[in-house]
Amino acid sequence: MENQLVIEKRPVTNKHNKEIVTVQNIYKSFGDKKVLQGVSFHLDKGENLVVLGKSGTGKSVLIKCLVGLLYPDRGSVEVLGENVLELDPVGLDALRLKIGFNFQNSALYDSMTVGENLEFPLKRNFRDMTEKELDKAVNEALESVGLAHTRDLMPSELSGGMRKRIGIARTLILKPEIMLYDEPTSGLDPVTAKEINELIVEVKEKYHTAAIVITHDISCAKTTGDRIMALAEGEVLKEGTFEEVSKTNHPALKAFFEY
Amino acid sequence: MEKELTHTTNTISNSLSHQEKEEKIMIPERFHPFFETMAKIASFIGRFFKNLFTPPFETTAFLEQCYKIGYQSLLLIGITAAIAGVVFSQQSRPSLVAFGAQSWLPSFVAIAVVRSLGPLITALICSGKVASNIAAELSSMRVTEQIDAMEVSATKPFKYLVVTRILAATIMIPILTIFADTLSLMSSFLSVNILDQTNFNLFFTKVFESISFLDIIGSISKTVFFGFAIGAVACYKGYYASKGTVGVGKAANGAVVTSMFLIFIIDLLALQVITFFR
Ligand SMILES: Nc1ncnc2c1ncn2[C@@H]1O[C@H](COP(=O)(O)OP(=O)(O)OP(=O)(O)O)[C@@H](O)[C@H]1O
Ligand SMILES: [Mg+2]
Repeated sequence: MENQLVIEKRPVTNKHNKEIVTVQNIYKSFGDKKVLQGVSFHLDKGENLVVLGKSGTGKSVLIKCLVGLLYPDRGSVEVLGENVLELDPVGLDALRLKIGFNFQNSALYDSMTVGENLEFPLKRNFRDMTEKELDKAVNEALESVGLAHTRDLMPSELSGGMRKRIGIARTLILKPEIMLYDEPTSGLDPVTAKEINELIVEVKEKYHTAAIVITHDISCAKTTGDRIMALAEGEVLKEGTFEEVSKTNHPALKAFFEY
Repeated sequence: MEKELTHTTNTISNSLSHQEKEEKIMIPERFHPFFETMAKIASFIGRFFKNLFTPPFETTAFLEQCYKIGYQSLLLIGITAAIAGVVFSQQSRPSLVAFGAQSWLPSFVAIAVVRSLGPLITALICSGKVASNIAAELSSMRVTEQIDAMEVSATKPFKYLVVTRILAATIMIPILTIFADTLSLMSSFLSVNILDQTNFNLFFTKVFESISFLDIIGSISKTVFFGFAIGAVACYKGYYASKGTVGVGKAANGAVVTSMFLIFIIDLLALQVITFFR
């Protein structure tokens, strides 16, 4: 009921068909632990939105709600015109094909080679693809992340930065409309992190995707983001361009910019 | 303690996908954890059968599992079954000799092996080898978010990972049992032959005279249930493993303990059913 009221206060802004993700007032707790407490935001077509926030504020939980890996306790989630919370399994799978989800730890299938990792989503979604077409798609995706030579390696033979790239290639192969990056640069040295940031920008230009980039790395936010949203304690603290957000006096945010 | 339990079930239910969530809704919250687990197992098995009969079928992945579960267990099961055959014949022989009944040894061994020893040895070895392997594999995939990654790329991990494994276990364990039975009887013949110089034909004529059609049918149907129990328990424990590395150890351990326990329960139930028909 309370939820209803809040929604009325914030009218649906999806008027000009530009918004491809609209999240309104989502709440999520795990047992007694409150994680998200009324988060609302939107993502426009062709835009990179950076979600900034310290560890444990629920950034990963937030994007998992966009693809139906987790379900919020209340609130609404609309992605590419679909109400995620009410989709049936078939509709959900169809939507998921248009979203490239990059996990925090890359989540490569470690029993398969890099090539098989990339083929896997294609083979299982488009069963009539020929070997030749598969081969071409895999090579193309590997080339776009600059790792064509790793095709026959196992994920355990890759470095952290390479794993992130392969993870990105594995989602690109399905030609998604929205990319979700969960801490693409965490655990990487500054040089590799910079390369990944550049890759994210490249992907946006080459594949014309919109993206949500989750990070607590300021240089990543600066290079990849068109717009920044700062989260703290499960709520949106501030939202705007990098300059706007960096001028903040909020103690929870200030520390991010004092590098 | 109770708090801890509800917390774990909560954590699990939170990481469920859409389909699983739907099934979860039917279970009233704060229900007794035992019944909640039972309901979850029932819906897991229901989901297995639903997915089993809906195309497309995962033939390649299924055959791969058959190879892993069946072929790669041959050596271990062969050796164990052969040893059990020798030990059983050598140990029962003195008692039979004491009654001057050593000519009954083939029948005695045959009945023991086909009705009980072969199926039990196969199933218990597979609990240790196959169930722990499946549970560890699936749970580490769950913990490192590989299953989630499959889920979000619309690749239907339940069908690919779970259905193929349960089906392969259900089919391969009866076949392994037939293999184990054969090796047990052969090794029994060899060990008897060293002492008594029996004739191969005579030994096996007696073996086949003593086991009935019902013995064979009963034994094979029993092992189908053994195989299903092993596959289902292992997949369930692995697929719903809790997060963190502890989850992997717990899943593997739980899969072995639970499937071994279930095997004896099924054995007991099967005995009642077969006795009814005898
Ligand atoms: N499946 C789950 N079950 C229980 N609690 C969870 C689950 N997923 C997340 N949490 C809790 O939610 C909180 C937020 O987690 P989340 O992973 O979203 O943080 P994060 O902002 O991504 O942090 P990090 O930067 O460390 O990745 C954490 O305290 C975590 O313990
Ligand atoms: Mg995270």
